[in-house]
Amino acid sequence: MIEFEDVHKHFGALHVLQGIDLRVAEREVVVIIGPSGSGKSTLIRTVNRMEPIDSGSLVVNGTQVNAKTVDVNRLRRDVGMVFQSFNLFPHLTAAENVMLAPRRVRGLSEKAARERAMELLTKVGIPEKADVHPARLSGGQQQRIAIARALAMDPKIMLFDEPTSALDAEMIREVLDVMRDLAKEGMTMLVVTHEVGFAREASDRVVFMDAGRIIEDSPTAEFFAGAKEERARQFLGKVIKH
Amino acid sequence: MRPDTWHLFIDPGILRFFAEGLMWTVLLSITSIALSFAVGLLFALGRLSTRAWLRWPSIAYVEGVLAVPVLLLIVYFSIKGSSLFQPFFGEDFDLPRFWAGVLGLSMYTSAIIAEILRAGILALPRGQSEAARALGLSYPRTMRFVVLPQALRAMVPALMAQLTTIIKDTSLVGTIGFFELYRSARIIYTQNFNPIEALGFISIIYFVICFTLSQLSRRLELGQAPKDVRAKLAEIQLRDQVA
Repeated sequence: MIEFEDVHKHFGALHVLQGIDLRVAEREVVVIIGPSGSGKSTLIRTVNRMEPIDSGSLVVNGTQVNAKTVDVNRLRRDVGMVFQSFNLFPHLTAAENVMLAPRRVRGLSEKAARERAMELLTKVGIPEKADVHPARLSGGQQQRIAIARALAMDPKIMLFDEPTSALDAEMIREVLDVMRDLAKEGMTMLVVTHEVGFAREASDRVVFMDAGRIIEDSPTAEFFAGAKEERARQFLGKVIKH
Repeated sequence: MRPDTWHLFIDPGILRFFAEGLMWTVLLSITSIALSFAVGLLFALGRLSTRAWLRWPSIAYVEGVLAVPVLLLIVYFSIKGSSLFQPFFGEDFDLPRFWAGVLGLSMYTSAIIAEILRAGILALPRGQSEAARALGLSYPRTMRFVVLPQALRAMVPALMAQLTTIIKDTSLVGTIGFFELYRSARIIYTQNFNPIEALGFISIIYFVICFTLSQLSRRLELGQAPKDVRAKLAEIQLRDQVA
């Protein structure tokens, strides 16, 4: 479903991705952990070409993401993305946020889009907030609506870029619950997070990154039983203690 | 002062004369603001474009026009406007003064509006357009449905301020012989030798219109974040009660 082969990426002189090789199969949930600045976010942002790559090959759903002929908007319809800072559209209500892409990209009627939006808002547990603007919602509610918005295009892959890092402790749980449900339903997910509990329960594999490289890529149970790499063990020791 | 001419300002015929001038001032303003908004939006987007062949001409237009007095533009279109459009409308085409005024005012105002809109677009968090693009919205749709609705709302006060400026600047169109509010006063005082009264009278009219608009824009500005403002006020009141 997602295949990285020797992918490199620079930001000016900074070599942020240094030869990434990674495969994510359909229905697989892969969590990426690692210290900040290790290139985790950049890595998942290449999947929907929010960040173009400099060299190597990246194939998503059978298309070369960086081929010049690729219709990037088409590619992105199949790849949902959830951001650390939610990025809900403040001028639209919760339901309108969810309805925007189905209406303006797919050309769904307002009625059909609204029905679908209500289904998704029910799925993330806040149908009663449909007609409320984001400014009046808690961070946890906003992030759940952002997940519903990403799901509205029926993506085949969901990318989560530190979805709980901007949330208070009591709201992290409600967002992780929604993500856990998605994982159970068989959504293909690539998740950058510091939530070790989520990784342990819901993921199939854990990828540990440091300084632009994948240091370790192991099945979740093995990773937590004892990471092979010293750097991964040290990092894990730090995040679990907190 | 010429108190003996004061009765003119309650004379229905004279008042109708001023009213007609005012009507042309309003028409000039509305036409110009509409045209400059459309043109300004194009140049704002042009200047933000990643394509150099769109960006550089936009920068040149905006910076060039802003460095020139409005009056000069109006005079230019009144003198050269006809020959500019003759290739399109035929040899006999004569650009009406109204349109010479509109073009002069719009050209200048479009450059200002381009800058206002550009500021509004740049002030939006990058996450907004990122989220829209990630959903599969194209760049034009991202602009149309996500970026511009927010940028425009934030820019309403600045745009209203520009409208008041354009209303005042329509008086410059009077100098090329077009009949509008200022010109109507000039005609009255050259006949009655009462410039203080005539100009004072239209000053009041300009003031009423512009003051109303600026108050309106202030109210719209507050309307932006009524919830936040109200929440903050409520918080302060609560704290006072506790103390």
